[in-house]
Amino acid sequence: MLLAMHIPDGFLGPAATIATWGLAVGGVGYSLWRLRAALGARLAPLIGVTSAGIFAGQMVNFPLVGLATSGHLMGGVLAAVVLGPWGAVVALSTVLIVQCFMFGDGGVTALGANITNMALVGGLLGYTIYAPLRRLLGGGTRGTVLAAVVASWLIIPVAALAFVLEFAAGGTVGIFPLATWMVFYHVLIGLGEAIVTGLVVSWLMSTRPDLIYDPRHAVGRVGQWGQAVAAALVAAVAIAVFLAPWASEHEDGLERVADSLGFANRAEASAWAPFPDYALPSNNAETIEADKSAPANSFVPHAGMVTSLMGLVGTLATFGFAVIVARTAERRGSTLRPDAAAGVP
Amino acid sequence: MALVEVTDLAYAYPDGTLALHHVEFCIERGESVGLVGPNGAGKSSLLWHLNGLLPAGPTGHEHPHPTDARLTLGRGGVKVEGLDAAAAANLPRIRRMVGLMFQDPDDQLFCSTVREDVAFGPLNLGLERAEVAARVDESIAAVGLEAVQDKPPHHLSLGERKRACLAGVLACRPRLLALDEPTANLDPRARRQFIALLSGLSCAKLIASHDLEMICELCPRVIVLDRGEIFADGPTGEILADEALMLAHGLEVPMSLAGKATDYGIRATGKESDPSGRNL
Amino acid sequence: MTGLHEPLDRYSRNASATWLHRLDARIKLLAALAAVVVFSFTPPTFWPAPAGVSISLVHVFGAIALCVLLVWAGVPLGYAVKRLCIVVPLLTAMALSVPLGRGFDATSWSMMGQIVVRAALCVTTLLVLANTTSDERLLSAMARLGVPNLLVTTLRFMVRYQALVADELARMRRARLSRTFDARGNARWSAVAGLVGRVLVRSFERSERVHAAMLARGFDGTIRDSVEL
Repeated sequence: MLLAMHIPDGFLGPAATIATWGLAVGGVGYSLWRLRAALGARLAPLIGVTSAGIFAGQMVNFPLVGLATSGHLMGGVLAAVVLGPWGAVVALSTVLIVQCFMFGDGGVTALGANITNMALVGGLLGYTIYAPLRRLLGGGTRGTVLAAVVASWLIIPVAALAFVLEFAAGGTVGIFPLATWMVFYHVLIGLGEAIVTGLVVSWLMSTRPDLIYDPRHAVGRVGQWGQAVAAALVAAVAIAVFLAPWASEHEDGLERVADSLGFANRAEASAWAPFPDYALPSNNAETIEADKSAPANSFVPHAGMVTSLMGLVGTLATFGFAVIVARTAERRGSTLRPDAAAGVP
Repeated sequence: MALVEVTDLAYAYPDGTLALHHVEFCIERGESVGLVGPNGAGKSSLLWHLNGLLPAGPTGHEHPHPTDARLTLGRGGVKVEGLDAAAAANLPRIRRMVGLMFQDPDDQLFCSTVREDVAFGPLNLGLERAEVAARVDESIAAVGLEAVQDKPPHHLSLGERKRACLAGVLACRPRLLALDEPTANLDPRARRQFIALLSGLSCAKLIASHDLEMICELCPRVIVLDRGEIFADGPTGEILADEALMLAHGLEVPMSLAGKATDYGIRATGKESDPSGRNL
Repeated sequence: MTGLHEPLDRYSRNASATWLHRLDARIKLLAALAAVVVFSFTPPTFWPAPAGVSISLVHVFGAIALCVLLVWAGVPLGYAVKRLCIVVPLLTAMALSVPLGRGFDATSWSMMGQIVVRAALCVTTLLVLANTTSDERLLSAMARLGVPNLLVTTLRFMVRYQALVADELARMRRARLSRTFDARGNARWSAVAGLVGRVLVRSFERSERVHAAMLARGFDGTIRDSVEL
């Protein structure tokens, strides 16, 4: 349920393309490696056939109340609920590759970005929100459904934000105007994703609860710690990687291109934005003061640097918080294990 | 020594549902045995056990994924040519000897073309490529699918897909064919073709089916399985004609046996040669 | 996005296969990738078109070349046009990100236009690739070009079962519609959620049966190459 679902070719600049392809190759490669350790020869049939199911599930139309259109499930968190983080990454990437080459849905150069946004952010990052939350809520139907709902809701604006960052890294648009629109819109759209994911997960819990992935039963698990930290690192690096070329391109590349094309002054775009001063919180007043002497159209690059730092710090802080919460939850959860671990010899 | 010996086989899902309970029987070389019973009787589970796909004891091989937990409660055993299916080391040899044909041909035809699929088994046997190619040609010819061998499975009719599955199994040269509902959903012509194909094979067969007419034609012996237990094991003509037994286990006496005392000939298939007579 | 759920490769198994169909899939895949990269990253300032249109001639000649290839490959232009008619509105909707991100001025519209042109050319490139190369060949070309075997095998299973699962879904949906008379709001959403759940469970169960079927024929973890047997 995402406007920026499948990025076509031609949308992203070279820097974002290379960065997202790097992330995608690394992420899928690592996930395949982890998954092979757990599943062995079962990997290909298990994930391949289940991917077909995820693909079909994404095709199901949900009537959107009050809108003329209908929505589709992105299914990142749903895939992670059933297949676990690594399975979700591989399955969602498989779906994206097939959609790209056999259905013409999503670009080839943008495949890296699509895998990053949907498999790595939607699946892996979604799982790192879902899993600790589920443990915190004590598991069970209620805990699992609630955790899936929250994770799938949060992950949609985050995925949209990832798209904005990738798109803005090409240097054609400013992050903030677009981000404001996209995040606002996707917070709403995410509600749909959250409701549907919740309904599907509660349906699964009532019919085949054994299909819900539980890291405790997975063979070869390296603690959830490793997963959370790895995911946090992936996310932080992702954001840093997207923002770095964006920020640096503004110094020369963009302006050169913009000048040569006779594009409108960047400052105009910023002035048009709904919340032009949103980029610079008041505690960064010194930065603004320091920039007063600079020409008007260097406003955006500095905002970009600030954003970059804010993004990195924000992500790390969020994950630090998640790690602390999850660790507390696990300590509490360990005393509850006997009743939760029923069903498996 | 019988080809297959099943002794005190029990199997349950972890939710407590008993799929198989104290199942015992033998199959001799070249014998054709029918396996009948209502839906959910445990026929498919039994066939899977013959191929070592379900662990036959609590110490069966470990499955890494949590969903496999439901496949880990079994006891008793299956022996094929004296090899115990509970020992993981025996599984490759057992699977070489027992060819299992699944109910849904799409489960079995996972390769991109029929030819590739038929080659899958022989390639896994580690045969020379020339030998593999020869076996593939032979099996495809045996089921008459030469014309469609390079097509992807989803372009084939159900009857063709079933025959492609059979070719894939035959290419491994099994000693026992374990068939799960081979004629289900086939139109009469495809069904007839398939029965003719099966009757021409010399290996032992265990055929699980609701198609009792086919069982009458192909199998001199039949086993009645219900709620995971064997209720009858003996000559097809006697068992399938026992109306009380049939009704008690959700089956019915096949038309060809219904008027057995007076007349064998109420066959809907008409003038075709009547192999059920041979079986009686 | 219903139209996108129809595979691109309607003509990949044309009985009257052309030289483009017979060409080594690796060459076609690499050529398509190169074309997509060129279309995506050529700036409008490179070899610009005359008459003030802010577009590169690379894109113009690319479009002509693609038309020629479509004709050579025996793909009816009508089919390609129909396909583009489904895709272009979606591309345009997504490209609205440009004016949303930098204001509704003439430059934004022209940048947006360039993005739509690039994306449409890339989709057409994939259309040519998919309609001259069957899925199996494309996948084995990927494998031979160094995509890890494990990933290609997983893709093979996805490709093999995708149409089947979609059919299953269509059947379930019909069955549900035939029993639903006036469900609205909550009931409808939970019914649809049940549909998604069932599709997932069924494909998961099928994956287990497929794996069992592989084991039954002696699968030991290595997929052996069955090309040219």
